[in-house]
Amino acid sequence: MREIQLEVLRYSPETDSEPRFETFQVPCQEDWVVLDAINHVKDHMDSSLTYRWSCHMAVCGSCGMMVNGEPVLSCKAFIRDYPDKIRVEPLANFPIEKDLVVVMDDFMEKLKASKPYIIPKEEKSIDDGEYLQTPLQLEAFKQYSMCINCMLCYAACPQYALAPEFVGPAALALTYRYNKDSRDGGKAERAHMFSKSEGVWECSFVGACSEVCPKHVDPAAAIQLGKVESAVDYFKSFLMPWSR
Amino acid sequence: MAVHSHKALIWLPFAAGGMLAAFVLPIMIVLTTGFLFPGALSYERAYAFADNWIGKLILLGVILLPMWHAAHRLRITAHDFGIHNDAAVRWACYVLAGVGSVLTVVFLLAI
Amino acid sequence: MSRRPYVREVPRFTWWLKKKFYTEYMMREATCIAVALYSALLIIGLIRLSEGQAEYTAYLEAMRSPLGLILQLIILAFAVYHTITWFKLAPKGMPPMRFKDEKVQPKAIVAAHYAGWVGVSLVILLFVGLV
Repeated sequence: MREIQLEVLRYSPETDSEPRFETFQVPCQEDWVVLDAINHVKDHMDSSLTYRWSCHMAVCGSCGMMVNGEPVLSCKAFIRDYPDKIRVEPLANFPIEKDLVVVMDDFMEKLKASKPYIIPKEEKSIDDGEYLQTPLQLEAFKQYSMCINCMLCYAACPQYALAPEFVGPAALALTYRYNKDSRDGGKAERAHMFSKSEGVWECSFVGACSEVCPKHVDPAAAIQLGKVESAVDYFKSFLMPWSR
Repeated sequence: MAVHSHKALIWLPFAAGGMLAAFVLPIMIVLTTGFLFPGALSYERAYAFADNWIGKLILLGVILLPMWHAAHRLRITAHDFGIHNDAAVRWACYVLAGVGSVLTVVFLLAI
Repeated sequence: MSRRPYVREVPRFTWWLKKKFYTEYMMREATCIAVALYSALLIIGLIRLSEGQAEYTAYLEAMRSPLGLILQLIILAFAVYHTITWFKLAPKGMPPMRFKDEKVQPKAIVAAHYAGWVGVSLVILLFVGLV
């Protein structure tokens, strides 16, 4: 049993003009994660504390928040790895809805506009059988398909902070994932989000997204490779105007 | 075509120049300081190097590519430092690099 | 129940001082000032070379004066930092490669860049020193 000071950024849109920190003394078990400490506060100290969580096993991507200034999944952040004073804030670079809950409308719109789903090269009926894919074809995009939309990469990205119109790491990495899928033929349909100025070209390769990604998606790599492809497509469209 | 940003055009020289700068700039600086082979950059030798097409082409590459790399990076970095007037910064960086390019070509041909 | 989202402002001029990771990134980006300066020095050298022996020799002497050396040493420090950071990120800019049925690891790509750096530098030194 270890007692920690949990500083939580609170904001109630109905009563507060701006966020404020509230400190809770939380007795923690050795194997607790930060999310357990927050649940303890909600269950035993202040039931009005508002936050998102679901799976408690780094799969759902709901419980992302800033812990001591770094974006992490709070279900994956073990108390034993932190000092006695732990400061919890809502994900950076997003507006605060209430307490630790952020407004994610911007991300959701960008994700939807990026068309992160297979747009088949050729429509096949069920009778024609399944779409086949070799292990090598799978390897071309598998790592980028691990994204759980937790938005930690957006909270880490200074370019998203400075230019909110930036499509951002996760949406671009997912676009790249579907562009590289051998079953897919939708690259041209995704280019309006991917290759525009606010797409891959807004990225200055800070690399923070890949550092904080809990699923090792490496969005920075997807975006760099996307720049290469986008630059090639740009020159192709000049040299071979009929290819578009 | 409309969907593609023109940043794609400048990105290839940026990447090529960054790569070239990473490999050759440190050793070039060591040579121009004269710490190693101080006599190697004498007038006769430098002139002989720049007096043929291979030498001219090499000089063109090592001067222009890193310069365009720097110009593009400076444009991006100005935004990072809080200067958000990209149109003005873009013109300043690229016009300077353009002037440098013209000077390089003109004086390489003059040798 | 009304929505009234609170937006936290990011400090426009000082954000990169808040985290070491961001500060290192800005140092990496700032190397471009040194690269641009060195390009300018080279272009000046080229102009002097075309003007004649006396002008070029004076340029070379200025480059090797205490002031010229200090300037070049500062540029050298930034140039080496550029090299290190460029190689560090190189694996992310390359498509997945395979060698003998194995995926090429990022570490191997970085190591190959450093080996290439040493090789290129030696070739240039040999060329300049012997030819």
